[in-house]
Amino acid sequence: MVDWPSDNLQLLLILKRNDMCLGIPARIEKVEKDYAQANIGGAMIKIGIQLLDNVQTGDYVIVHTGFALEKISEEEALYTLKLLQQMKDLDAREDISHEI
Amino acid sequence: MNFTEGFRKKEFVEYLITRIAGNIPRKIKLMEVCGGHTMAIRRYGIHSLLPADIELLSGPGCPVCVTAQDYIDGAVAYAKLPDVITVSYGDLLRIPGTKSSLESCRAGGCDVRIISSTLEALNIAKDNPGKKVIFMAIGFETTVPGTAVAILEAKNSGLNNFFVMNAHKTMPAAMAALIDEGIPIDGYIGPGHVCAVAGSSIFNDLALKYHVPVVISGFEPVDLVQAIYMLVKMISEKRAEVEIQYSRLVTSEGNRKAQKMIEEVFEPSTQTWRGIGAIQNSGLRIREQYAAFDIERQYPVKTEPSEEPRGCLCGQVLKGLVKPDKCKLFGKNCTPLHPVGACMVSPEGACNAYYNYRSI
Repeated sequence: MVDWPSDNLQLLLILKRNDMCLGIPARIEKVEKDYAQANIGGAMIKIGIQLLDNVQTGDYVIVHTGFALEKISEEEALYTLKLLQQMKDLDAREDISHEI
Repeated sequence: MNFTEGFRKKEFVEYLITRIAGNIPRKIKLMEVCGGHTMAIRRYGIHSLLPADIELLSGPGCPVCVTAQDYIDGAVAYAKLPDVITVSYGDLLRIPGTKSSLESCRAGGCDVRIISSTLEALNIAKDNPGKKVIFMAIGFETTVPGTAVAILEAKNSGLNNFFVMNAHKTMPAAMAALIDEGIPIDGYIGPGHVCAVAGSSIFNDLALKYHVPVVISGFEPVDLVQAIYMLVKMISEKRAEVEIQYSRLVTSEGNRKAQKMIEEVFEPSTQTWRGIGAIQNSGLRIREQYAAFDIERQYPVKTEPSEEPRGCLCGQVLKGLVKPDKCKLFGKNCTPLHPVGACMVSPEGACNAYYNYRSI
């Protein structure tokens, strides 16, 4: 079912060892009905997309035991990072004003 | 987009650590429930960056670790039957049962195969019509959808030699049981991928009833440190809510389509946890209309009463009562190469993570 990449031993080890909480981010490259070709760190893996609606090429998903569990929101990821940066900048400015 | 780079930024970790130190109201104990979190915390050394007033406890979220001893013994009994192919996720094979593990069973000639997806199990069943293929279905809300898809596909395609030995568990009741037992927990770092499926709202009742804050966290260093900061903030403000740090993946309602598939195949039931015992509504049972796929209902086996390995404190480690390195066996008689108990076997097990990422 899964087409193992022979050139990516590290990835193979990760997937075969199968830490069960470990979800791996992947990019959907091609959708074929209930399955998709997903790019995980450069290796192409066939995954099941039965758990999601409207999976499209270019979507990022978390892959877990061979299934796409949920889509990753790029917008939310960027928002979290932006918010952290703002918090940090704001605190740095306050520190400076304290010193003055 | 690269989803790991930004969430591994050293400057964010350092900044959040200072914020944590500035907000901490008293000595607090936080439990990371998920084994993946235990692994990440140890791997990135996050525990060593935190102020001394924060103690991190590892919880019962390593799927193979909490699998009860009699399940392992049952699995070995099935594997020894003629015309059976046992298929399992890798971690489970090395868990020592009372007399044998699936791995030693395989060394003795049983057909035991490692799979990384239930879809592989279906293919093995199709390729071996004369044999019963038994899938060892363990794990939490993250692995349940895979089992549900497999059972539904087996039913649709009329596959009658695919079976499931089911011990699927769900998190909230176990987390409540720990507090009921009197284990002092000031906040929970909630499991990210469990909530991607089930939604963070599964913890609303827990937060309300026990007045304990829960933050659903991702698995990168910045994720974990930010989640700890959010917990510290809630504790200092005396709030007990469910918040989501891992917002790029988790919503409060979760993946409805996956939940519907789970509800179609499974119903809530009592499950037995290693170290904790039987907990009501802490697991899932295959519904009557899919009983044809439940190996224990179709072909029950008898096993001898199960025994835990002598001297192993895995049960107490899973409850956060004992730190792995305080066990007398740790690193001496019990190592990842020669594990005595379940918590040393799985990479997500607290003992394994403490051993692999111990300071030198």
